[in-house]
Amino acid sequence: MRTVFKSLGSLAALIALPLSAQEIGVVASSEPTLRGTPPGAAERALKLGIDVVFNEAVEASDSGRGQLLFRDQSTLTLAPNSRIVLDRFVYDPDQSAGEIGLSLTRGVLRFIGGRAADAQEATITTPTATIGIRGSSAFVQFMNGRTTAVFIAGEQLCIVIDEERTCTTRRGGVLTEEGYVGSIGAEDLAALLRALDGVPGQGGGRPGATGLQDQANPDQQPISTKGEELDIGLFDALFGTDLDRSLLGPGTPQSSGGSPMMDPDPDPEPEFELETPGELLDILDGDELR
Amino acid sequence: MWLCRLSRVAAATLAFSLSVGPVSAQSNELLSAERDSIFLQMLDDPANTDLMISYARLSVQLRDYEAVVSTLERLVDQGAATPALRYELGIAYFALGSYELAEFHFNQVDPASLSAAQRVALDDYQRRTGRAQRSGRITGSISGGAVAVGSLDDIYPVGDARLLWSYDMGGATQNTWDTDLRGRLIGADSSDDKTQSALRLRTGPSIKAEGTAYGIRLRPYVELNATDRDEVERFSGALGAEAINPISEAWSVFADVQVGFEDRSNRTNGLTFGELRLGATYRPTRDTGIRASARMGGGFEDGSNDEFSLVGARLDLFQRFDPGITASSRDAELSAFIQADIREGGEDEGEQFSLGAQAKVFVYREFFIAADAQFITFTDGNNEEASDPIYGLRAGMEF
Repeated sequence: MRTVFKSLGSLAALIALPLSAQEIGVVASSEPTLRGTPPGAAERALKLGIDVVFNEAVEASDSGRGQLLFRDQSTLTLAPNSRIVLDRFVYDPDQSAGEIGLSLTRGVLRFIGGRAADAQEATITTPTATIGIRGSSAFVQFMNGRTTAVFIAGEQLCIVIDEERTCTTRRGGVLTEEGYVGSIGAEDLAALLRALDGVPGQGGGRPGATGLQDQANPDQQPISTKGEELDIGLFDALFGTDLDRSLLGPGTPQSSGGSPMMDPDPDPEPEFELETPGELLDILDGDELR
Repeated sequence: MWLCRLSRVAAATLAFSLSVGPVSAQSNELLSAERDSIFLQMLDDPANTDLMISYARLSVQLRDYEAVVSTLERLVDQGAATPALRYELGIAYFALGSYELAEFHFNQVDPASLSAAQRVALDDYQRRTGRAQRSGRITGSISGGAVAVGSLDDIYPVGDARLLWSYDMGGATQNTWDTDLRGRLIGADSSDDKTQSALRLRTGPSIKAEGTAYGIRLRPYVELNATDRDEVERFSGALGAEAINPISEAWSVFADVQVGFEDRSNRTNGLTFGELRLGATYRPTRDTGIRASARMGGGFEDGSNDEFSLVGARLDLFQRFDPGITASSRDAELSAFIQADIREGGEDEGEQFSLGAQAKVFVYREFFIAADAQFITFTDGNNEEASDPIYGLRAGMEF
């Protein structure tokens, strides 16, 4: 039955939209529903699985939330009472390159970059600022006439005000119209997450389902959104090798060992017993001293 | 002979890189194609949790943790906010260095719903997320044990300490001032009052050269060394710069150059020296690494014509794994190395070839036992050769 409704919904959406409308993503979750207004078409309910199109305005009501999954694998989460317009999307899957841009006219969103944002900054425009997100994830809020952007992870988050650009690479770093203003506090972060994710829930589970627990470890260094990791063992690699070698002590011809720590008299005077006068000449020639 | 050994180290490095590199790239291409295929299915059926889990699992294998986060967030959003998913979401954010978000999700997890091993790991993660958000962060390790040279009859006590103090210099780019301290002390046995020690301190700012969170990291530094070995005390100070460039998820390259001055207790004049070290690290997975480096340097004794030079190469291999038998969330580590150095001129003149291996297992939380063995051959400037195996056993803790 659900499939039938979904198919009918998709059919209705196709009929309602101009033929030129470009599908750029899909509604991946919607609670209870999002509303969408494609260009030149009437408003529609954006239920789970419905395609969203280029230049579509998407709105969450006071109690609505939802997620959009774009074709470049970017994800956008909308908090209640938010409104966006998907006003730029170009993506070439063969080249894994493209552009993504949207306008936020009200509310809060979380953007997690996909392939288009790896090569080219994704942009989120608010009435007071332009946010650039490169290879990254961020929260962006426009409320009471003010823009706030929070860097979650990735390469860089920037804000452009009157052509002046300020960037942060600090995770949790906050950008506003005043530029970089510090890190987000725990309470503000919790409030943002509550708005985006709803009330935290508990339930059953599938522990270890993604394999993440096997691959990640508490004592590992942070990894970039592209999987890059700094090698932190460089300082240690050569430390102590001379000290270990000193345990061997000065060498002796064809000997093994000879450490001064093991031998109380490491350099005993050589004792010679001359048997023939010719032997002394050999020694002076250096044959025995090489 | 030294040329032969150096060539062997270089050839082993090259052969390994050439053989493993393409295999890994090919494997990643296959994983990536499989993930793309699942993604297209997800677009048609975005509520399918099996597809989402498969997508997240492949993203973990591809080390694309941002994609893992977006998928887990969607699962949470769809009402599947299970303790396991919250826990994994916290781990994913922790791995990306988003400690505030990791802490938020870890705090949502009810420990009673996790396994005993997961509870230990959760506790470890939570302690580290709190510490990672401080402006000054100290990490390190301390250990003690014994080394045996040649045979088990000659045993010396050994102590080893490592400290890293990382200070967040503030501002939008989060550059840090890092101070590394490493020390080692080998005590005397009953028949000898001699001890040997080495202490190295390196301090300097770690700067994100490209203004992005990753990319080239530059670290100009001051380094101080104090060594007491072979009955000679040596003190040195150097200025240097280190650059690390993580160019992909598998490869990173580094360079380290320094010039300095050394004072030795057995010489009237000091020594001026310089050294350049270049290398690359290859990580086919997060748990496996191969580092190859080469170094060259030289110097002279002030006020004389005495010169010395150094050329060397080293290959390191390391592997982490979960032994699954200890009450610790930390992986065990296996590592091995081959190193060859040739010094010409000066009192350290000679050829040194060493190879060794170490196993380190965390037995309870941050407490570990490490066992190592190495074999060193040193031929000095008079063509006198000394060689011995050295065995070590230490117990210690990381903090």
